[in-house]
Order: sequence, then structure tokens, then C-alpha cells
Amino acid sequence: MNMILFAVIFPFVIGLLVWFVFRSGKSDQGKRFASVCVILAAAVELAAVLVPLIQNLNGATFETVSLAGIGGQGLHFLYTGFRGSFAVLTAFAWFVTFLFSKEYMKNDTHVIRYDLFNLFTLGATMGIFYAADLFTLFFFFEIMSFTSFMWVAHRQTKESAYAAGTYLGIAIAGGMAILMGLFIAYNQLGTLTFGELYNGAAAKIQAGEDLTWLYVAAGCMFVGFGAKASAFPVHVWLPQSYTQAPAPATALLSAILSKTGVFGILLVSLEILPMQSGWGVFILLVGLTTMVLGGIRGVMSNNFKTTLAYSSMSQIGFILVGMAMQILLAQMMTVSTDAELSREVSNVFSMAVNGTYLHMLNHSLVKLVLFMIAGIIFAQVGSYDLNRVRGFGHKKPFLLVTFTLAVAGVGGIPLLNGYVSKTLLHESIVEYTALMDPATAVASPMAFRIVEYLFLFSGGLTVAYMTKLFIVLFVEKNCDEKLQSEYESKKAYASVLSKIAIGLCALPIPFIGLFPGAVADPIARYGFVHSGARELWAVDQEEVFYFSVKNLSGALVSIVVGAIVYILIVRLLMLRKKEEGYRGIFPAWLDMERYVYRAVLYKGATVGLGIISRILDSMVDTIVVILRKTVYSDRPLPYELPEGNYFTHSLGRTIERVRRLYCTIMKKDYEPKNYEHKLAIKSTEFFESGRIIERSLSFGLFMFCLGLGLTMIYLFMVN
Amino acid sequence: MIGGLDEMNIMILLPIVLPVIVGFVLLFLPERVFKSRQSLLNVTGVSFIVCALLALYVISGAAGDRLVLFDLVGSIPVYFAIDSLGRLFAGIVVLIFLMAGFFSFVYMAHEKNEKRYYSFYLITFGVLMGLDFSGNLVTMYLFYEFMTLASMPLVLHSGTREAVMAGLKYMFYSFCGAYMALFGIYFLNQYADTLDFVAGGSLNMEAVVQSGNTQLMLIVAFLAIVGFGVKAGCFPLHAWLPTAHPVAPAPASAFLSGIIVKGGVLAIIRVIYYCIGADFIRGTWVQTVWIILAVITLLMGSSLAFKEKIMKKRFAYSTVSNLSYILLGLSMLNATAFVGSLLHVIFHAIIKSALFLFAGALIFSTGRTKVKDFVGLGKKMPVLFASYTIVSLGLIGIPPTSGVISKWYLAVGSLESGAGALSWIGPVALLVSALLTAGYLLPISIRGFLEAPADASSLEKYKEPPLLMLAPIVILAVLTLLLGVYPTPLIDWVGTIASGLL
Repeated sequence: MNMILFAVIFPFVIGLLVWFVFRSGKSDQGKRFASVCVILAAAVELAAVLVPLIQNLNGATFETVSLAGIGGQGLHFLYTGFRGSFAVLTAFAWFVTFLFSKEYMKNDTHVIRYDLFNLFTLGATMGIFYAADLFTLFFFFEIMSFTSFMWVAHRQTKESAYAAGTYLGIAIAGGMAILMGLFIAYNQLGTLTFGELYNGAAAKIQAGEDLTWLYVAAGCMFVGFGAKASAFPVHVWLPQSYTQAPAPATALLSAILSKTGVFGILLVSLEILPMQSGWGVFILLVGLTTMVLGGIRGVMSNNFKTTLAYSSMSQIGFILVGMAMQILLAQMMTVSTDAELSREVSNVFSMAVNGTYLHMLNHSLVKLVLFMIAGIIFAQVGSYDLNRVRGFGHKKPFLLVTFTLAVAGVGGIPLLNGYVSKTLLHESIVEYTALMDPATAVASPMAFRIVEYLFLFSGGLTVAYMTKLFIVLFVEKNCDEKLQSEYESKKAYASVLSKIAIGLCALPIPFIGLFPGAVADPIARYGFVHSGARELWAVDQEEVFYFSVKNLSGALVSIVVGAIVYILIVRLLMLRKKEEGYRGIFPAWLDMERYVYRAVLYKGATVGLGIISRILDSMVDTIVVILRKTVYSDRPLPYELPEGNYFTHSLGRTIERVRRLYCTIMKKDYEPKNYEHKLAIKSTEFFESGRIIERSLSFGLFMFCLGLGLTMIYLFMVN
Repeated sequence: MIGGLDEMNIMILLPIVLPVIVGFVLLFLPERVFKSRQSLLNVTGVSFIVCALLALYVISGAAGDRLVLFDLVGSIPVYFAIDSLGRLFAGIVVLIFLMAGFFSFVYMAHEKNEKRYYSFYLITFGVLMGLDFSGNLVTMYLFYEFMTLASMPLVLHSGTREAVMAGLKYMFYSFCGAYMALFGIYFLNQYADTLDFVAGGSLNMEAVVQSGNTQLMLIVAFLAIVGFGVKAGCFPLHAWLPTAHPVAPAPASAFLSGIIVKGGVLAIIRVIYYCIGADFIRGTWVQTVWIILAVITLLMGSSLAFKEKIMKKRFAYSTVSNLSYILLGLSMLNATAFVGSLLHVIFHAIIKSALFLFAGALIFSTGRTKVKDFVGLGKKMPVLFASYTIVSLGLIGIPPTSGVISKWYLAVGSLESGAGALSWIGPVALLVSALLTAGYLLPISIRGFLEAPADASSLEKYKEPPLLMLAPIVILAVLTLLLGVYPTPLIDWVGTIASGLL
């Protein structure tokens, strides 16, 4: 069987099996057995995705494999270096989190349900990374959104329900936006297959056709993919969901699921709007906002896990900036005519591409470590509040080493992995600014100078919030001394399996950082060359001197900024009142999730729609009611009037009503005077007298007279 | 005049007449004939199965495909012709008829006048078969009116004042619509070559143009759309639907919302695509107004469903919205959107019946009707709620369930249609509506599975509904999933219908 298909389908099958076998088992033994099963399943999955990777490294190539007819369009899968490496990363992440979960989820309820949805999510994620067309991507993206919903909702508390609601709302809205983008892209380009999409779009661009609809399609898809990647302004689900999901699930959300969103945006940028500087600027702006905002909120949070969550957002911002630089540089390549310049631009371009790719990889590894450590802390402390967590790390060398590697790694400290990717990204911005032709460029060099400063500033923010966490864990002591000594005496804070899981993720961090030329560059090259980018651009990156003074100074700037921010914001503002400890200082009224999404979009928009709909809904009914009250009244019930006739009856009642109205207006006491009855008597009298007259002789004579008169008038007129 | 011995496939009459006869016999038999409830159920169950088998026999084509019964007036016969479209609709009718029918064996235990219910249920089935197999406009119109009459008692069933008022409203709106459509038939008789259904339409364009009555014919087409649209819950004459469907017993609601409303859809397809012809109204104001009405209805239906608190009423509004997905597809007048519409006819029938049966199962087991009443019940009834979740995802259009397939064709067809701004407003409305659908369906399963009521012991007494009740819902849910995972044969078949028309 084809390994790619196997990797996609196997988790679904094994998930169902595990659920079916263990679902009723409440016993600890059953749970333990189930957790071993899922670890084995993840190991098999990892082996399955390693096979095509190794075959590919040995020179084998792969055709697109299809499951014809599934989902109407058929599902198609493709192998490229980028996809293969991320599939391996995905399987690896699941493997380590399952190792970690064995202890972490031991005492949890609904573990089997968690495993079921976890394995489903694994299969869906594989489907996303291997997808050969947008429909397949969407198909699995939606499945992933829904199955991962169960992570957030897992704890079944009020807070988790709230967070899960937001998560699901954004996921569904994002999914629909992607679908709309798919419709338009299909309508415009006539295909959804990667590669063909690019050809179609490139043909359109070369013919100078109107690209508005392609921009709309890309924008729609950005909403959906950006939401998963937690890009501004659709990142609002992130802090709550990350905080509520169980730690291993959060690790996966941050390490892998956010990358599926980035992958989606990358594909949109490569396939639907290739080399469009307008799109590049858009991604750049979004990336900058995400990067800075995430960093600021990360610094200002007083919650361990929320800080990490915002850190994730900020790092995704870095990745998006890198992607924007790719697009801008690609555009520059297409317009440059000078051969020398072209060569240089393509060199910078490959730096941006490699930087983006490596930062995705680095961020995944680092976040796996950090969120699993957060899980350990939560399991021991029972809270993520920095004031409670304070001092937990003392006398725990394993934690100290792995945590330090991870935070320093993502902080961009030289000799660790983040430094490599951030240097590449930084260089690409600097070089772009230097190479750009101010006359034709999308913005002035000054603007890109600002981009560079923001980039370094955000690097500083990363350093600041990571320092905050480090100092909280390992330097400061808890205010509660009893708790502190309890923390310090805790030796069995994590099982061997959990430690192995964390260790496995932390291991590559120094390797990538220490030997960038030997480790990072080849990995990046493997990912890049096959990432779907055209042959045309596949120029090997020139050797980068990572440890040159120029590049080191960038990191130094970030570290200095980080130190300043840490002292100003954390030490001075957050710790202003010593007795209160750390306080979250981000103003609550800036909560976009609550005030924009929940209040305006969810409540306001539906109420508005509801009112309009209610009016439309009752329109015809109202007309019918009016008709029935007026001209088409139902036939009155046939009953005899006790006295009088219809005229006296209605006149009498009208008078009564007018009197009552008058009394109500004048605020007088109303007493019924029974006009109906009085009129009836009057009319009876009237008709009785009439009948007497009618029967009398005089009346006969009168009628005779009248008749003669009329005859006479007639005769006159005839004559 | 069509005639001849080879068209006397009298077997075609059986699935139409037999249920009606059995229904009437059942109706007039005195109660005491049936010694117990079980014996009534046995008789009904057997007749359900026999009728369904006969219908399937005819659908399979073994009974031939044409039957001229007799001439009504002059050259207008009552005439049955079975084509793929009729087969498709009849097939769904049989499916839902059986599912809702067997469901009602348990459900109706707590309702009165069970015998009357089954008899009208059977009569309605026969009439629907007649509608689906009709070969010309007049036959279809006759059965269309019979359908209204036969399904009326299902709405009236409980006999409460609310039900009676709802029944009257149903009748009022239905007849209003039917007369509008009837008006059109007179004109079509004048200008069409024949009233028989001809793929692509039979309007004699020369005659229309010569008489200078093009505008008049457009008005006729429009009236036919609005008139038959009443049954399909199309704005502005949709208001009967959310009133009438929820008051009926749950399995009847399932049948009404899943199947009977599709009678309106079938009638519109027959008039527009088989009599007037899609080309005649393409690009005219009729198409524009039709699209606008469909868009308004689908947004209105979803937002009202979103705001509705009573579960069955919520589902009824959802029907209003989803039927307009179908009408939107039809109004685009191209093959892709047409395929989407027919697919949605199938998927919506399955899903909406399942939803109403779900509501019925909950009413039966708990006696509660409000959406917020079912907190924590998912743990007690996992199979029921899991099936509900699957069909909900189907209605929203989340892969791998079926709804996304029809939505795909609807939206792509809409974008292809070249109807100006409306060609993209349609898909946007579809997706906004899908979002609202998620908003009104998913909270029920989320509350059911993930939340717990304040008083957990109040749930102790509940368990899964009886098998006969659960099985139809599970079957429909599985179908939703299967048709979503592997819809290709269905799409191909529907595609052949569409390519014959457009």
C-alpha cells in the first residue's frame, strides 16, 4: 500500500479501533493499555511518513496518488520535500505528545474520547500536508478543525465551553471563507490542483488580466488559514483555547496546527497570487501586526500558558513576515533585468524562504518543549498563574536544561536554532532594503527600515517574555515559603516517558544552532527545493556567515531591547505592588474577542438579521390578518339578536365605545349606560308605531295620493 | 394524443392507487376490527412494505415507463411517464416514507387516532407517487392539489386549536399558490406545443413572439415559480411552513419537511425546465427576481432558525432556508447549479427527516420541546446525539458529510451563471447561511455532550429511545456520511439528468 495514503487513513482506522475496544473501560488498566496502543500507533505513523522521506532522499520520486471519487472531487495526495518533512514533524509531534500524555492524562476523564479525536486530528493533518489540490486541503482542514475542537472542549468546564465556542465559531467561519475562496479560485482558474493553479494564475498575470477576483479568493482563504495560524485579526480564539486545552493538545495546536494555517497561506501565495507585491505587502502588514501584538500581550500576561500562547502568535508573525519577504523578493526577481542583480536577489530570496521554513520548524520544536513543561507544571501546581508557579523550577536540573534551551532557542540567542532562522529572516529584510529600486518598489526604503526595526523589537519582546518565564521558574522563590520548600523537595515531578518526550524535542535545538551550515542549511534546502516553488527559483543559497559580526549584532540588539522591556514592563509595571505579585496589565477593554467578535459579529449581526427577517417573515401574514379584519372578515357566528336590530345594535355599541374612549381619555369613571338596550326599545316603539300607521286607512289614502302625483309628473314629462 | 397498447403499463398505477385504497379502507374500518394496537401496526407495517416494494418495482423501470389513463378533456390526458427525475424524487419518497413510517410505530403510541394517521400517511404516499410519475402538467397539477389535501390531516392530527389554525393557514397558502400556477397552465396550453413534459421545454417561441405576449408569458413563468414556490417555502409565501410543520406529529413533520415540500420543487422544475424552458427566462427579470427571492429566503430562514427557541420550529425555519438553496440552484439555470439543486433535494430530504425524527425521539423520551432542555442528554443517549451531530454537520456542509457536495455544485454553478453581481451574492449568502446553520444546530449537540445540567440526577431516568425509533435516525445519519464520502455515482446520474435538460 502506498505509504502516503496509509499515513492519512491509518490514524482514522486506529482511532476508531481504540475507541471501540476501550470506550467502556473505566478501569485504569484499560486506560493504560489504550495509551500504549496510541503510542504504538503514533510510532507506526512516524515510520510510515519516514519511508517516503528516505526513499526521496535516495532519489525516488512520487506520482500524485488519488482516492478517486471520495468527496465528489476525489482526494489527491502529493509528495514534496516540504510536505514530507512537515509530515515527519507532525508524526513526531504526535508521538512525543502521546508519550507525554501517558502520564499527563492518567487521571483525566474521557481519555478514550480524547485519544479518538486526537488520532482523527493526526490523520486530517497528514491529509493537509500531503494534499495535492485545494479541495483535498479543505476537506481535511475542516475535519481537523472539528476534531481539534474536542481538545479545547475537553475539560467540559464553563471556561472551556466558552473557549471552545469561540474556537469553533472562528473555525467554521474560517472554513466557510476558505470555501468561498475555493469557489472563486475554481471559477477563475478552472482547476484546484496545485501547479495547474499556478500556471493559470501566471497566465492571467502575463496577459495583464484583472486580478481582482484572485485577490478576493486569496483574501477569503487568508481568513480561514490565518485563523488557524492565529494571524491578526482572526487570532482571537488563541489565548482562551490554548489555555483551556490539555497541555499535550496545546503543544500540538501550537506546534503543528498553526503550521497548517501557515502552509495554507503559503500555498495561496505561491499558487493563486504568485509574485504579487500587493499581496506581499498585505501579508507583511498582517505579519508585523501579529508579531508585535503577540509579543506585547505575551510580555503583559501574568499567566504561564497564556504567555506561551501569545508567544506562539508572535512567532507566527515572524513566519508571516518571512513569507511576505519571499513574495516581495520573488516579485523583484521577475522584474529585474540585470543578471548580476538577479543573482543577488535570488540569493536573498532563498534566504527568506529558508528562514521561513526553518522558523516554522524551530518554533514547532520549541513549543512542543515549552507546552509540555507547562503541562508538568500544571500537573504539579494546579494553576498557570505566575504567582503560584513562581519558584517551581528550583532544584530541577532536567527542567532547567530543557526549558533554557527552548526559551533561548526561540529568543534568538546565538548557538541555538532560533538564531539561525531569525538571522536569515532579518538578513532578507536588510538585503531587500538595500537592493530595492526606490522608483519602482512598493514602499520607500524607510518603510522597510521600520519593518526591520519592528522585527528586531519583536525579537526583543520574545527575549523579554521568555526571560520573565525563566526568572519566575528558576530564579525567584515563591512568596509562600512552605510551598517553595514543597516545590524544592519534589523530585518525581515527571515520569521517564514524559522526560524522554521533552528531551527528544529539545535535542535538535542546539544541533541546528551550533552547526547551521551542516544541519540547518541542508534541511532548509530539502524543504525549499520541493516546496512547490518553481524550478526557476531553485537557486542554492550562498553560504551565510551566521556568526559574522553583522549578524550577531542583530541578535545583540534584540537582547538589549529585551532586557530593557523586561525591566520596564515586567519589573516596574507588573510587579509594581510587591504584595500582589505579577499582575496582568493588558487593558481588559481592548479584548477584541469579547467586544468585537462576540458582541458585534455574533450578537449584533444576528440580532440585526433576525429583526429584518422577522419583518419579512410576517409580511404576508400581516396582510392576511389585515384583510381578515377588514374586507374578508370571517362570517359572523349566526346568532339571533335578543332585542332590536342590527342597526341599533351596532349604533348602541359604537356610542358605548366612544363614551368609554372619552372617559379613558378624560380619566373619568366609566359607567355603561346601555345605549344598546335603550336604542332597541326606541326602535321597537318606532316600528310598532310604523306598523299602526302602515295598516291605517289614512296611510292607504296617502299612498294613493302619492301614486297619483307620480303619474301626473310622468304625464307632464311625456308631454 | 398519445396512446396505444404499448403504453398501457397498468402496473404503474399500482403504487399510486394501492396506498390510497388501503388508506381509505383503513380510515373507514371501525376501530374494533383491530383487537390490539399491535394488530393495527402489523397491518400497517405490511402495507407500508408492500407499497414501498411496488413503488421500487416501478422506479426500477420493470413496469415500463408510460401509462395513459384517460382523457380529461379534449386532448389532455391523465398521463404517467416515468423519467429519471421522477425516479429520483420517487426514490427519496420511498426512503423517507419507510423511515418515518417505522419511526411512527413507536412515536404514535402516545398520540390519539393512530389509525387515521396511518391512513392519511398512506394516501399521501400514493398521491406523491402520482405526482412524481406525472407525465404532463395537468396530471401533475391534479396530484399537486391532492397532495395538499391528503397531507392536511397530518397537520391537523392533534386536533388542538393551534393545529387547526395551522392547517387552515397551510391550506390557504397552498391554494393561493396553486391558483397562481393554474393561471399559468391556461396560458401554457395556448402557447406550448404540448402540455407533456419535454426536456428543455415545449413552449412555441414563434407563437409567443408573433402574438406579442412575451411579457405576459414571463409573468406566467413568474407566477408559476411563486405559486409552486409556496410549497417550497419560498418568500414571500413561506409563512405557512414554520407554522404547519411543527404542529404535526414528529414523523409527519419529517415527512412534510423532508418530502412534501419537495413536491413544490418538482413542480417548479417541471414547469420551468420541462414546459417553459430555461432559455426563455434566462437573463430576464424573472430570473433576477427569482434569484433575489431565493437569496432573501435562505438568509431569512437561517436567521429566524438561529433565533428560534423551540426545536421543531427551528428545524422548520431551517427547511425554509434549505429549500431556497435548492431554488437558488434552479434559478441559476445552468447544469452545474441544477446538479447541486437535485443533490440538495436528496441530501436535505435525508438530513431534515433525520432532524425531525431526532426531535420526535426527544419529545417521546423526555416530553420536552425547547432547544435548551437537552443539556447533558448526550451522555444518556450517545447514539441518538451522535447521529444528530453527523446530520447537523451534513446540513452545515462540513466534509466528509454530504452537504458540502451539493453546496459545491450550487456555488460553482452560481458563479458560472453570469447573473451579474447576483452570481457571487448567491454563494456568499449560502455560506453566511451555513454559518448560521452551524449556530443553530451545533449548540444542541455541544450542550448534549459536553455540558451537564445543574441537577444531574434529573437525567437518571433517560436512556436511548427504542430500537425502532433509533434505527431510522441512524440509517439516515449513515446515509449522510456515505453520500458525502462517496457521492460519485449519484453525481454522475444526476449529471445525466441535467445534461439532458440544459
